Amino acid sequence: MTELMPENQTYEQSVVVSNWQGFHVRPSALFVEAASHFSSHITVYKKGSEFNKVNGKSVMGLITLVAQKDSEIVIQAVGEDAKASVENLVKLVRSGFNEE
Amino acid sequence: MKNDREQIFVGIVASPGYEIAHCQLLLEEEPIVVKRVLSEKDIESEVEHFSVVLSDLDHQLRKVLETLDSKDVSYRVILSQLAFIEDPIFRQEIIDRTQKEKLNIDYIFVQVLQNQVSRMSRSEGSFYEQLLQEFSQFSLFVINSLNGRTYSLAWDKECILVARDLSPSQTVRFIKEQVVGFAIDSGSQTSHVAILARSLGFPAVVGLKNMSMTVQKDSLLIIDGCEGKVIINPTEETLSLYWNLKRRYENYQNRLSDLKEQKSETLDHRKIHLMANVGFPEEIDTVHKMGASGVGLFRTEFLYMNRVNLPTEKEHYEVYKKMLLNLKPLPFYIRTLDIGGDKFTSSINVPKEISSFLGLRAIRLCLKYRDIFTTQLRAIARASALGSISVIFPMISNVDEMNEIEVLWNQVCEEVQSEGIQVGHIKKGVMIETPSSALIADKLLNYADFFSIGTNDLIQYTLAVERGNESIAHLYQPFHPAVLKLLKMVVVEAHRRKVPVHVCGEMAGDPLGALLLIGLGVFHLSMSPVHLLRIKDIVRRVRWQDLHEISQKLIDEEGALGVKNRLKQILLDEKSNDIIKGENYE
Repeated sequence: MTELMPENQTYEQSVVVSNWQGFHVRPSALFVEAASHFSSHITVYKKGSEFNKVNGKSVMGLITLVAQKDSEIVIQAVGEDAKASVENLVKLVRSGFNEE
Repeated sequence: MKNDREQIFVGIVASPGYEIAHCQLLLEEEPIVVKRVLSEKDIESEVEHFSVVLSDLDHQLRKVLETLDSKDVSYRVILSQLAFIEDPIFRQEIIDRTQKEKLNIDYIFVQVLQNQVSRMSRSEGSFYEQLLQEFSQFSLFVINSLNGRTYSLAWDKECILVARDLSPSQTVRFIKEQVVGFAIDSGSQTSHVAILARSLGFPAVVGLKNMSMTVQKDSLLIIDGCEGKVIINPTEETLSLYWNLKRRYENYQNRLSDLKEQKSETLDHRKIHLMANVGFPEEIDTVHKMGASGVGLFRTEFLYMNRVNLPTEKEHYEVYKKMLLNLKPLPFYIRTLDIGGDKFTSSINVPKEISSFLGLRAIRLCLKYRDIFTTQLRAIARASALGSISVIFPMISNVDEMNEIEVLWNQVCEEVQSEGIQVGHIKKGVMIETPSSALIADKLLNYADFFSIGTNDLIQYTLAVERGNESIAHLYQPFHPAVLKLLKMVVVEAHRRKVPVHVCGEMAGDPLGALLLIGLGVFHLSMSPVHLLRIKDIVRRVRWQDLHEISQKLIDEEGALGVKNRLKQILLDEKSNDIIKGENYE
């Protein structure tokens, strides 16, 4: 029986991309900046393209998701602050990265 | 292997004039990366070199960023490059693999990048294409830097730009550089490169096929924008001939400028309104310089080009205000967004279509994405308080569209009025550029204060010939009987209801075209400012009565050639041989 240690939380949540640009450079860079504040290992993939799981702290990786407006992405985290990190990032995406 | 021989390339005239200057090649050089095995001691210096180069590139890019406006698409592209360079995960992967596989770092770099690309899902739209382009640019940039080859885009002297093709966004950037001519492999007489060169007043030749591959960097070139030729490495004799031609041409242009103050009337005193087509606010100076009697077509697509977000109402308004105040009291005709086809936008993610000419563009796009449309309409309504504006709606093909527009327009005016702005009387015009609109001109008259015939597109759609396609450029015939028939139909219907007809396509700026149109009863011609004085010169030499009489005979001609010959005859009768010679009509 494996029991998850508190230090090793796993959490995931999906969110729909709402901003006009989708995951172009600026939003990706903002995402990475936010993700870098957390110690957990962050993985992101787009629903329908599960083969391409990218490191959420890599701009290059996020861009290869080609996550356009209205696409759905899944944010996964493993680590101490897994839940907090995912929730924070989901909120960021949902807010449309505060673009006009 | 240097080739100093004089070579002549023949293409298509895109913009008149002569220029002699060195060329600047715009080519993407694909670097060749070969796999090399590294020895243990080399690995460390390889990784070190990589880090140094990246940090240097980072520094360079940041400097360039400071000089750009954040709305410029180049700004976004450079941000991308920076983000990639600063991506620690990407960088670490390259370093790790180099150390593990003991191979040269540029090879590993290409592998890792290609790996990223292969993981991208191919999806609809320009998003994927843009990313591919960005990755490819990034790759070029880094590899060239790693190999010690850097290239800059700044030129320190006047040059003729040579390229395989020029995208609209690239051409917008080059206005500010020292370009005095274009020599492009692809394109046709009505492609955007041609239109831009004409509006900027420098010679351009397109359709040169493979010239860009043959010409050497920095070669001396002669552009002959009157005959559509480019000469590489001209001999002394050729040079002297062309310096002469250039001088004579410039004298002719100067003589024409004397015409600026003269009346725009035929010999029998029929007034012809000669207006300017303007695509960027910067062109406003040429409007005054050429003595145009107004702006007959203000293209608003530039507001949507070279940026990722959509222009705000305020941005629209500021532009219209600036134009109006500058033009007052001359008339100002704005065409609403005509995006699609060969016009590019990065901000609207419209799915790629099989044929965007027949697809979701112009008024169709505006009626589907209403917010975009009402933003523009609101700005126009507000600007109308400052002066006289007229609006032209592009690509109208049925009456339903006009009904929808009417409803939206009334809503917008009410809204704006209720915000305390005195909305002026705005004339609304229908752009006749589809065969359908020409054929139902009588019905569209119920909705139009004027018609504006867009001959470029009308000819394309009627003759089923695509603009910008070199292989069939010869089929694009403005004087085709089918086109004449439609033109006549529109004018006759409009005159019946005393509604003015404008023509704003390239035909209006062509001497024979202008004569034909005037003969048919079109007294408002709007053209690229560069043609204006020449057309005025011709207008002043002919009698409307003669043109009118001949217009009937023209309709009976079987083909374009017959039409052109009859029109040429008029010029001959008026002893305007110099014009015939100058236009190479003999």
